[in-house]
Amino acid sequence: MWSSSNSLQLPLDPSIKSSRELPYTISYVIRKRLQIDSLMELPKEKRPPDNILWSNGSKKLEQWLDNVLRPNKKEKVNEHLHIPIDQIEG
Amino acid sequence: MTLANIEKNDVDLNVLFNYTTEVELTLPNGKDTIKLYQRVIGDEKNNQAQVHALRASGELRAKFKDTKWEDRIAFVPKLDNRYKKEEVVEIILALLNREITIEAVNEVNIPTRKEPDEDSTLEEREEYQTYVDNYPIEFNTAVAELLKKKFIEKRKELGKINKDILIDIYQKSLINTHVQQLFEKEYLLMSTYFGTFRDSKFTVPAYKTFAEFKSAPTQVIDALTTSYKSIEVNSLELKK
Repeated sequence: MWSSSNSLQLPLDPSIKSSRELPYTISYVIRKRLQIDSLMELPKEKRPPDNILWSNGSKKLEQWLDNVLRPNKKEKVNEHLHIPIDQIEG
Repeated sequence: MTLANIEKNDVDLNVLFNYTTEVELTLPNGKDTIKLYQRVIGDEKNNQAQVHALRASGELRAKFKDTKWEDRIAFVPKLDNRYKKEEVVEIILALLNREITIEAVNEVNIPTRKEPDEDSTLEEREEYQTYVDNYPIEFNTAVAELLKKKFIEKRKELGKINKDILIDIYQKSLINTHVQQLFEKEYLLMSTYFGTFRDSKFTVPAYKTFAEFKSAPTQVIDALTTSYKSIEVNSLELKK
């Protein structure tokens, strides 16, 4: 519904004249919809399972995304750049 | 899959868009009435209501930390020696009921069936619909079973603890319950105050200040908060 309204540039509810008037319940649903739409762009195996997607708070989701998007994060932190001494100029 | 998204076929978007209502209040003379208008508050006011409630619950928690606070005994009655250890365990379990139930609801994870493709047969779609229709029962049964299991485990766990420590757990659990209740009450009060108006265009707030709203007769506050709650979709419903 939100996607259709957005694509057609039609107001979701014509009685709402400014975003400040938008009930927080509706903004929550829109934000969640946008979040789900963007997560659906991930390859299927990297998408968060429903229990994480709908869990309270964003911690679990952040952890999931950290793990699937940067699986080698820990190793990268310890990575060093090795330059052989004979290749250093000067 | 959560109850929230399996029930998508039952989602009624009208609930989300029914965010206004009217309340008719009888004036103290018992004859005249006044009509007030309510709407669900926006993000900004919702944040303010949460901040207000957090401050209030934080203040109460701070008071509880003062063991000499004179009202403490009224909020946290001492459990004297008449209570057996098993009874203290049951009191704690009753206080943890909400927490354990939320845990169970979040933990239940029933695998979902794949939604039928567009080219599926009518029979396949009927079967899927039956599955969707039965899901709430299946979900509730799973929650009830998990709850039962969790309570047995918790009872066992608490049973191993000595009575003095149990009394300490009882006090902490009761304090948490009071603080949680105050948070919810203050959040609802502030949201109702922000969301109540004198006109149908929602331009003139019904009360000039929160203090003025809070000093209104209890039955007025009750009527307004109950009415406001009826238009505010709760978080579980929102997730549908």
